[in-house]
Amino acid sequence: MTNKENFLKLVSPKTSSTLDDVQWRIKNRAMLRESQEIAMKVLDRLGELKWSQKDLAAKMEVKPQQVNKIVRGKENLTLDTITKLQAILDIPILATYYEDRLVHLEKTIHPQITVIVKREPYEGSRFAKTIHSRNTNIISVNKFHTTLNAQNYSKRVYNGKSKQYNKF
Amino acid sequence: MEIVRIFAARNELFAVHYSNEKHDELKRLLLLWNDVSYLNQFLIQNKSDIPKGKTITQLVRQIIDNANEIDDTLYNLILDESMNIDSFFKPLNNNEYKILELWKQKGRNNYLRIYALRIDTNCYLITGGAIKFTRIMDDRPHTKKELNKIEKCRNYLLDNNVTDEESFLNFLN
Repeated sequence: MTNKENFLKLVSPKTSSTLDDVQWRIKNRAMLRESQEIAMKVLDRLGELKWSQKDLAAKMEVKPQQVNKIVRGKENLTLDTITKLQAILDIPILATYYEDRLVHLEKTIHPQITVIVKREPYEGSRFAKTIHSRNTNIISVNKFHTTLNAQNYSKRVYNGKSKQYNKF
Repeated sequence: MEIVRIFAARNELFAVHYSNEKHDELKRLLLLWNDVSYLNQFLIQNKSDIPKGKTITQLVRQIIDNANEIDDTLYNLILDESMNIDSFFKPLNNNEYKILELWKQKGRNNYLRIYALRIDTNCYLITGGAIKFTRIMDDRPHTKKELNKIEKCRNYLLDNNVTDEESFLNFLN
């Protein structure tokens, strides 16, 4: 009897479900990637705030197990959950987060600039907007970089890559 | 200890399911390597081993990407039955070049390791795996544990007469 034949006698009749997992993960890779990115943002923010997952669960009015699922990055999160996370942790997840900030910018920092947020098609990004000043200068905004150019005024508002958010 | 098949119809890849674990080793490892919370915690605990210039977030992303590549390799093996699994594994000890009896092997993708015993040509038993930042497995408890697991599995197979005369002769030569 060969080595392999002896080995096969020890093998259980059961088959692992690993390949079912593999196929599911590949099929849902884009969703999982988003879920994992949100999980990382949540864990980072919990660290900054020195909150436990239990603290977050209490504020979200959900069971701690639900938060545990979120931070594992395997959940297909609902808009309701994402909205709660964004509001409670004050972290950017949805495109509306930036729109709200831009309106805030108009009101508080630079009242002479009229902010007109227009959705524009923008390849490779989730959203893009153009803001026009009264002097017709264009202020372009996207997920990764925002620069204001109105006359001599220039200010970097947000750099998504460095995760630094300047509150207006 | 139970040995389960990874492919239902192919006698090529197997994994150990330890009695104290919920899943077999391959399933368990891939679940962990896709778990942001686990990876974050692991990297915090092993912060001193993290390569210079890398942040925890970057490494979490990288490990998940590497785990995705392992998923892709397994998926390609499902699609293409002529694909050879031998190419995924290399000797655990970099200095070994002769075929040995129940040879200890590693499948490697960046920091990820899958440890296995070579039963025969294109036939492997996965005994465990780890995220490895240090050069020597004995250097860290989690990799040292994997060395013990692979040795324990090898002894289990030897105790159950899984030996190969041809390999053994190669070993003697």
